[in-house]
Amino acid sequence: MSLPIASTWYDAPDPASILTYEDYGRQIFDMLDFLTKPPIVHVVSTGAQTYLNNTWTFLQFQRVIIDTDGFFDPAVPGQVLPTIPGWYKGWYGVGWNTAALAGTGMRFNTLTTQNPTVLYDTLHRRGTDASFPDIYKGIRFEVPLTGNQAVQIQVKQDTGNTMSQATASIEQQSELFLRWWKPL
Amino acid sequence: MIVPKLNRWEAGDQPNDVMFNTLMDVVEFVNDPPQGHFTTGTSTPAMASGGWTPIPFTTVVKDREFEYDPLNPIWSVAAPTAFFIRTKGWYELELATSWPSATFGTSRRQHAIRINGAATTDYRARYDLRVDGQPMLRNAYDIYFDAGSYFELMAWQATGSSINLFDGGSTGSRTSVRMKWYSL
Repeated sequence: MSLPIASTWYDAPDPASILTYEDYGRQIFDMLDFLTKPPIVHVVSTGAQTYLNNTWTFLQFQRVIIDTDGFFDPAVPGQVLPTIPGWYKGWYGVGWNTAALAGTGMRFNTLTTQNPTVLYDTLHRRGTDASFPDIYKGIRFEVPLTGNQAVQIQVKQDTGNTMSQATASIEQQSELFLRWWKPL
Repeated sequence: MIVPKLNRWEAGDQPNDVMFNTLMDVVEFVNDPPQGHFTTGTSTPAMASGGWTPIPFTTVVKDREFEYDPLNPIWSVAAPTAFFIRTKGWYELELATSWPSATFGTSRRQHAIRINGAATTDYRARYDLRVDGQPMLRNAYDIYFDAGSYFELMAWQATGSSINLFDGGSTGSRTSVRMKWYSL
């Protein structure tokens, strides 16, 4: 799929005014078709991933819920690469497994785009409980992407120990959702 | 609502009112899609301790499906915890629960989405919070729903006794669900 180009129509006698209904159909319906069926990608991290103390780590994704336009490549599991330019809306979630000392320290989650590298707002949260996973879900963002900018999620923690990703169920697993929203 | 069907105009097609009216239907649908905004109003429903409780809503800010067909709204007082999907597709959801202060007990507060009432289908929306932090939980999701399905916003706390959700005093500070169709 590619982003349809909005056409300019002309009055006669401009030669560009001569259009067949096939031309009109292509220009109108391709645009509406794209708007009502935009690119969508949703990937989930199901693998056991560890997070070293005080070290930024990129989430890796193994499960594809939907990927309408091939934005995710399993061979490059640490990113989603929307190849169609535009503003994207999305959300992500990060699940931290239970661990000793998990009730201490901070959790940092950051949306990052590459080429060039841009770090968006970091969500800072205190750890809450050593006996219960810390789950941060549905974190909304809107981001402009030029078509060659990968989207990644980085996380960090500073409990003093190594932590791991929650993998028990999709309720806890880390994930990333993106959908094309509007032209740049 | 009925999703207008897009038919591409082809060479040899003769323009007629049906073609143009269908086009206008699509534009109108995209411009004003199924959407809703609901709150708990001034009510302060009780949430049991140690289990998930569906939140009863009381107030309609916007119900586009009701405007289209009053017999088939998204929400009605007859089923105050349920939001019914009348038009299949992808929806943006924004969820918020407003909780009382720590004087009502210090335990984690959570909310989650449950789809079609089955306990096993709690929708990956768990979200944790220390009660000495911000007392309002907010997050966002994109979910594909089939027509006829419904979802509920569930709340969880474990203070040891029932506590009431907080009336934030204005629409923006109350427990709320906002939803908007955006894709086939």
